[in-house]
Amino acid sequence: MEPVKPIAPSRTLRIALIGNPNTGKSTLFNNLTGLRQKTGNYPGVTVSRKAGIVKLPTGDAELIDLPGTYSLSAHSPDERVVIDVLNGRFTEIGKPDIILFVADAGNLRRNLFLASQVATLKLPMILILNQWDSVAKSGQQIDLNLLKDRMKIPVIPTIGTKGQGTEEVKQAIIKTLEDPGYLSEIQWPESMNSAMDHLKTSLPCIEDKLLSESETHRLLFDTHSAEVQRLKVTAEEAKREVIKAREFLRKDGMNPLVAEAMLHYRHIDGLIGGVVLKEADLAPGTTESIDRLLLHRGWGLAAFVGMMYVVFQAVYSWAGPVMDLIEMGKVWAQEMIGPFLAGTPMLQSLVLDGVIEGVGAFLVFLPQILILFAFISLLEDSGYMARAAFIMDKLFSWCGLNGKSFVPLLSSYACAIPGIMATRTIEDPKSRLATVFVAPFMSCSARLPVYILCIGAFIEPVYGPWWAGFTLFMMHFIGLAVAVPTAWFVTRFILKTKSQPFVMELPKYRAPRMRDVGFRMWQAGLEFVQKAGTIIFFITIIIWASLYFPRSDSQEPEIIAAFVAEQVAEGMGSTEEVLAMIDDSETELNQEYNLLLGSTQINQSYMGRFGKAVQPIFEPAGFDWRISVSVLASYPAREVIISTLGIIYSLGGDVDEEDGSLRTALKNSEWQEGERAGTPIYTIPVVVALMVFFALCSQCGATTSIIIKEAGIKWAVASFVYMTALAWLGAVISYQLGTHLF
Amino acid sequence: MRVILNRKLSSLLSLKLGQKARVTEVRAESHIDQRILSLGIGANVIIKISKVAPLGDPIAIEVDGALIMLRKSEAQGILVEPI
Repeated sequence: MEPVKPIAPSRTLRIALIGNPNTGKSTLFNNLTGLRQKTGNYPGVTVSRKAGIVKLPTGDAELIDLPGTYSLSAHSPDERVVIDVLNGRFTEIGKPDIILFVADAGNLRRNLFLASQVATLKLPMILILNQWDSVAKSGQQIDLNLLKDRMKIPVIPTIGTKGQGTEEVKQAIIKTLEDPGYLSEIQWPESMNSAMDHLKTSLPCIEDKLLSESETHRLLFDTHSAEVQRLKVTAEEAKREVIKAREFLRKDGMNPLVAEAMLHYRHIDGLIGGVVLKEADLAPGTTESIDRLLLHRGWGLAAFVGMMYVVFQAVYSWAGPVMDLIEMGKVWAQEMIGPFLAGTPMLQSLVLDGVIEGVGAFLVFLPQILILFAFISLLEDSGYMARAAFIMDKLFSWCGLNGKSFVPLLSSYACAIPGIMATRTIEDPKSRLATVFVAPFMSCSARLPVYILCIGAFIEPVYGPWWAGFTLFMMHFIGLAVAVPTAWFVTRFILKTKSQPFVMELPKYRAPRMRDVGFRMWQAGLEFVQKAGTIIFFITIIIWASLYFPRSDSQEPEIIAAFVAEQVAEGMGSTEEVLAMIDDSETELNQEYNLLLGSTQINQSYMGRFGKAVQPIFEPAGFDWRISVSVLASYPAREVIISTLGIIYSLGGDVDEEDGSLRTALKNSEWQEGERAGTPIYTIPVVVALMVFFALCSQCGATTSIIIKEAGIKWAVASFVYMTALAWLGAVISYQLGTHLF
Repeated sequence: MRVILNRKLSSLLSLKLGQKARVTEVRAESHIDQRILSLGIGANVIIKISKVAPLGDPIAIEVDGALIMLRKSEAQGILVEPI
């Protein structure tokens, strides 16, 4: 037995919150920390990291919220993070001083399996029996005093959703500082000690520190343990030694893969024997009654479709007015600040078209993110999310995704940003990365203006509304048709890690607490603005610069001279009169000149030159240089194409997709030179190719930023290259098929 | 060839919906089986198939008053004896 000594770290006290999924861990975390929390990722892995500050009379303590897990077996990155944090393997986090173990009071036996594993770490522990109210509700009776006696650690019943027990938990932490309690450890049989000794002596660790006992257990018991990476020896050598160690167990009559669960459960049964005075009633409870409806073959599906429709509508339409407000705020800010900078055109353009545009570019996503996360919080906290995954799993499992991919993919039809953020709800990293990768293929609302412009100008007038509708549907479908085989390919050939079992609990239904919903929205919003916001902002600035530069005032006299000469020739008046009209901002000529200037400047900008230079690449898709420049300029945000086309066709940047003049300009534009000179540029195959290009291309700086944040730079680059290549291929195929077949 | 000693030994999947059974063995051959074991589904535990998803897979089994969902492919290694 470890000698009892007070805990007195010279630094901030570190407390780890650990427990199974669906035990109300996050609610307790919110209760203990309030708004003093920060989120992020664990170094090197895409597992979200959450920590907060608990105010105690003795000073502040850091509370680390570990991912919910059923065991310490480090099969998934989530679980690996848990065992690594508990063993102090992350230097910037450090080993925790106290474990707060959260158990679902109604499922004591199963929850204590993890507690028993954690006990081998020999850290002081406090046992929290959360959802204590559900015990009485289900007719169960637990002898709390007996349990406290047996556990020899503080045992605190709490009702997280009502905030009950929070103070008691804080008191228990203070008491633990003086008089730490350790959960009684499992008594291993002799054969187990021999096996452990064998591993400890035969397998040296990389950092010249021995593997801890809990890590050695993982090597011994788990198939393909990730702990092998901590060893100095190769995986093969380690495997040989593990087989030798397992022989000790086999000789003792135990199957090494079953032994751990068997021994821990035997230990737990000893600890809690007689504690549960009365089992839960077998009569169907509320959860069972609700499930009869919500998991019913017919009604269940109908309810699911209904709920998802509401979620989609909310993200797709409810966010609209707020987004418009942000857009208006942006324009207002530009109009307010503009005049002050009129003296310095470059600074004016940087502030208006770069900075304000850049801030607006990421703020505009906030309403959708907040709405989606409110719904995700409601779905998860109520217990329905697991059921939605249960209903949908079959549709997704065959291509390597799982039932939890549904909500993120559905949301991506509104916008991929909140959709990709929502992949956080997928525990299996393989499914999660694959979902992140295919989410941008879902046809988001920013693609709609392009479809409407093209269909409205070219498809509907010629083929009628039926074909217009069909084309619109096909454009929404094509991304999905590409996403499914992509997911299959990625999970089969790129992500070679083993699939995680899709084994999870369908928790009891609970009323969600608005406070937790608020926390979730606040976290998601803050994280987006802090992390993705900065990247989106810089991308906007870079694109602004490539469209603005090079620009020298010395060119303006040439442009003006050519324009004036043309106007004079057309009989608008004498040179002086024309010049006077250009100077007067009220005249049409002034407007016309400014539009021409804009179009000339975009032609000369780096982006314009680049667009012309790469036009041959887009030649097989039938794009002329104007389309090529517009397509390139749309990389930061696809909806930009409309205003870029407007500028190029000298109509000004404030045209929209329904704009008659833009439609006419497109219809009337013809090839200037080459063998096609005089024929229209926008033929049906070109229009279809353009739409297919937009349906498949990664033209969204915000999406790329969020992929960098959620999955890392490698995935972001892969996504960008893959989508762009696919978009080009799709456009070329559409154009070539279209011109040769029809 | 392996001789099956216990005739009653059958896979969880052979159970009818709602039929109770005692687990005789979880074939621990992979990490998926280990996960099932760590959830407390081990020898002598009473389980039943409580729900089947509308599309036929996965299934939800009831153990100790909790509903746990798993795919049919994952449930295969759970051997039971109907009671």
